[in-house]
Order: sequence, then structure tokens, then C-alpha cells
Amino acid sequence: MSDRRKANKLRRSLFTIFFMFAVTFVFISVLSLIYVLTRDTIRLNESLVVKRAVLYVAGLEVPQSGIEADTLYQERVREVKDGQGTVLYYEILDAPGGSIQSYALPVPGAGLWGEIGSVVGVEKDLKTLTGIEFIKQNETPGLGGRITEGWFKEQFRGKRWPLEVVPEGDPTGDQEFQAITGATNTTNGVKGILNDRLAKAEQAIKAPE
Amino acid sequence: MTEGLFAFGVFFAAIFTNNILLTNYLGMCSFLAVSRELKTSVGLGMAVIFVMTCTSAINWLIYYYVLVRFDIVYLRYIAFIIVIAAFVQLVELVIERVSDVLYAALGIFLPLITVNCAILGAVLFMVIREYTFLSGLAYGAGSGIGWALAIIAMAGIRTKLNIRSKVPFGLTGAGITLIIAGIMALAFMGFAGMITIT
Amino acid sequence: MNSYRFRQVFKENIGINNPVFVQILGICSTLAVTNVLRNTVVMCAGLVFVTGLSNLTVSLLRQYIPGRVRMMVETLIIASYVIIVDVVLKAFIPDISRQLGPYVGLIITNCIIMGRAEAFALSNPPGLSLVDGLTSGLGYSYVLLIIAFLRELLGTGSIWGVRVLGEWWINWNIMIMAPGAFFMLALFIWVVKGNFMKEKKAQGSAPAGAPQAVSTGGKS
Repeated sequence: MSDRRKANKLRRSLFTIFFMFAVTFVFISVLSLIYVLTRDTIRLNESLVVKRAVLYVAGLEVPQSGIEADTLYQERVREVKDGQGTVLYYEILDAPGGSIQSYALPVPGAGLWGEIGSVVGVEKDLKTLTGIEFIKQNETPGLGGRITEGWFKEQFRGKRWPLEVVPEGDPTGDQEFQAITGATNTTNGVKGILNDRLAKAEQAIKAPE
Repeated sequence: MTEGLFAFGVFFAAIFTNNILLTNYLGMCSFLAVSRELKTSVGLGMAVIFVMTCTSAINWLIYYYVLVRFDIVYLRYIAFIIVIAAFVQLVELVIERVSDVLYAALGIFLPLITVNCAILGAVLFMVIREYTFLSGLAYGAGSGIGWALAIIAMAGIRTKLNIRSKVPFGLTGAGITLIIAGIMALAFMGFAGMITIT
Repeated sequence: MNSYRFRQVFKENIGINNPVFVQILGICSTLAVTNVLRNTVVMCAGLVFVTGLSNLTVSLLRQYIPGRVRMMVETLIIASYVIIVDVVLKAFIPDISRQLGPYVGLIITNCIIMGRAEAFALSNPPGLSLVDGLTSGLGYSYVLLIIAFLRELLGTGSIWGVRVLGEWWINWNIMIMAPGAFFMLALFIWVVKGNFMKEKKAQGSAPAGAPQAVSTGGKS
């Protein structure tokens, strides 16, 4: 190959490398800028997920707007933490600065695919549920994933521990809840998680730390 | 539950009850196109298993040791897809030099795999479900095997279909394949009871 | 640039050359979310956005992209726009973003976007490429919206979360699950191909987009 052609080939290769770097740099810069601009909003949204869940399980009306939800949360919910700052349980007040009307407990637990993270609300008797909300789940979409559907969650309001499962569509007593057809494992998982958590609820609330 | 047992559960589930193609709809393009012939389906399936397992492992490491550590998680899509593309290129190069037999069997499919949604999909699911490395690896391998199983089964069915059945014009090609996929998905749902978590 | 070209591109991408039921491309990423109409709308909006803008960007850069790294550059561009969509969703409609999960990221591997970039944006001016991208996205979207509409209606008796069918309606659970999506799409293709593609039938040609592999019939 002649010298000139070699030089051209080198120039083209260099240009290729330069081009890749330039394009990558430009795009990543733009993305980083957008990320920095939205990062706070995203973090706020993520913290709101838990707060909204607590409000929902307490039976309170959850405002659409993030700011209102946050305000309501600050007024009516008191977090009880352990020495390391992890929230052990939530006290729901009947009015801002009022007395405790119910509790909410964070509930980690095993599902089919991984954790089912939920929050469960209990009355002061620690045996009757005020509600349940799922924060994290990776169950099969369309099957186990349906635990997040309204009808499934709502049925828990007012149920008493210990819980049993009945087939979907059957009438339920105050200690029974309907399963999701085709998602037996997930449903039983939920039952196990709830019963387990509620069994230990007394210890969790009466004796923090 | 010990981690090993959980990982095995994930592996098993990824093949049957949470099949990445039949339950999560990923990898459809190549599935619809290639499943006409049994031989090519087997070749593609093998290649997918290999790539999925390796890229799951590599991307897991990259995610937790690079992206999370330096708080650039938002760039994960770029990172993952580049890793996948680079890996596939590398493997193609290596196979071409090293083994003609292997290249003849796998090599031609590799470029097709880069755009296979299932590969990136498996990585994303792995990250979302926060699997450990072992489970992530199990998930990648299982998903690959599940995908390969689906496409090989489909190829077998379609071959028979060509000989014995008269498919209405409107359904030829993609239409009938999708219906068969739907029936297969139904069948696979029957596996759901096999996995129980203590 | 005459408007004729714009109209031609529009017509083709919506009808004759529709990515979904003619080219059978790119179903993966969106089919999963078609069980809820609202989510599908968001996904499709994101897809139209990405397809249009990536086509535009590729077309603007087309004279400078070195041949060897062509696919990597295209992938980088597409991935960047998808990240933008993902971040915006997370910031402004977080619950939908969580429901969509990993499927937003999978827009990157959606064959349509890369396909249009390669087939069109590399050899056409930016304005036209943008229109091509947007219309391809739209052609793809309306098919999925119809499927989503039917799936949500039959599977839950409601549209956009609002119950429209009365208590008498027993939900077709299968519509919410994977097989439902497959069947719906197949049905759609059947209806379209059977009724509107009579010309193809008359010519006796095989469906477009699928490889013309020789079927190894005989020994079964």
C-alpha cells in the first residue's frame, strides 16, 4: 500500500475513533443534564411510594398530588424507628397531633419471584386489618401480579387475623380472603406473610428496639 | 431458604412457569421469523442460551460494581446494550478464528441476537428483581433454555403444520405462529403449580 | 421537499408497509403492556417519540457516521432517547412507570426503530426521516391500541380503569394473561390479511418481512 493510502486509512480510523468519542460524550452529557434536573423529583416520588402506601392502608383518602400526600402524611403519621433509623412501624393519628387510631407495619416477605414488599394497617387491637398495600412485587404479570389490583387489596379491610384463603368468587368470612385464580403460590405467599407478621405485631409495637 | 435452593427455583421457573417468551413476550421477532426450520431454530436456541447466560453474568457485575457504585444507574440501558453488542462481536471473532465447526453452527446467528429483546430483557428483569449473582446467573441460563425450548418446539410444530394442515390465507406465517404460541403459553401455565416457596 | 413524499411515507407506514402486521416487527416490547389501555398509550407515545427523534438524529448525522461503527452509533442514539423517556416517566408519572417496569428500556431493542434508521434515515433528508419515524411509530401504535382496548375490555370489563360492562360480564381472564395477547394479535393479523391483502393473495407471494426459508417438508 502506498504511503498516501496508508495515511488516508489512518486518518479514517482516527476519525472513526474521534467520532465515537464525540458522539458518546455529547449524548452522555445531555443525559446527565436531564438526570440531574429530574433527580430530586424522582427521589421524592420514590419516598412518596411508601408514604402513600401508609396512608392507603390506614384507610385515609390519598391525595393525587405528591405535595398534598406528603402534607397529609406529616400531619397524621408518626414514624417509630429503631436505633439505626429504620422505621419499625407507623402510628396513625386521628387528627394532627391527636391520639393513635391505628398502626401500619412494614412487611417484607417471600413471594414466588422475590420479595413482596408490603405495608399492612392494623387497628389498635393488633388483630383487625385496616388495609394492605403492595410496594414491591415481581410476581408473574397477569397472575400473581394481580395482587396489586383494587379488588384484591380492598377485601382485606376489616379482616381479622389469622387469615385463611378461599377460592376467587366465593363468599368470605371475616377471617377469609379470596385467592387469585391461577396464582395459588402468590396468594398463599401473601397469606403466610400476613399471618406471620400479625403474629409478631404485638412484639413489634409494644417493645421497639 | 438457602441461596442455592432459591437460585435453582429461579432457574427452573425461568424455563417453565415464567418463560421469557411465553409469559413475558420477549424475543418475538426472531422467534416468529426463524421458527420455520428446525435446524436453524436449534442453532439459534443454542446461541441464545450461551449469550444470555454470559451477558447476564457480565451485566450483573457491571451494574453492581460500576453503575451503582458511581451513581450512574440511569445510564444502565446504554451500558447493558453496549456490553451485549460488544460481547456478541467478541464471541463472533473468537469463534471464527478458533473453530470452523462451531462457527458454522452458531456464528451466523450471533448478529441476530444483539437485537433480540430477550437478551436485554433478561438482564433488566434480573436487575429489577435484585437477584444475587448466583440467582442472576441461574435466571440468565434458565431464560435462555426456556427461549430455546419454545423456539425448538415451535419449529417442530410448524414443520408438521406445513405438511398436514391447511392454514387459512390470512393466518399464514405470523398469524398461525402467534396462535400456536398462545396455546403453548397456555400449556406452560400448567407448570405453575410445580414451584412452592417454603 | 414536496408534500407528496410526506403523504406517501405517511400512507405507507400506516397501511401497506405497516411495521406490525405487514413486517411483523417489534412486537416484543409493547405486547406485554397491552393488558391495560392506559399503559399502552404511554408506551406508544414513548415509542413514537424515540422512533421519530432517532430517525431525525441519524439522518442529520448520516454524512458523518463512519461505516464501521454505524450500528453502534445508531444503538447509542436510540438508547439515549429511551433513557430520556424513562427518566421523564419516572419523574412525572411514577406509578405508570413502575407498572411498565423494564418494558420501557426494551424499546431500545424494538426492531422497528433500528429498522427505520437503517432502511430510511441513513439515506434520506432529516425532515422526511422525522416524518417516517413518527408515522412508523404511529402505524405501530394504533395496532397495539386496538389490541389493548380489546384486552382490557374483555379481560376486566373496563376501559381506562372505568368499568363499562355491567356486573353481568364475567371477565375473560385469559385476556389479561400472555395467551390473550398472542391470540388477539393473531386475530388482528388474520382480519387484516384476509380482507385487505387480496392483492398479495392473487400474486401468490409469501408474507412480507418473514425470511423466505425453504421449508424442509417431507420427513416429519
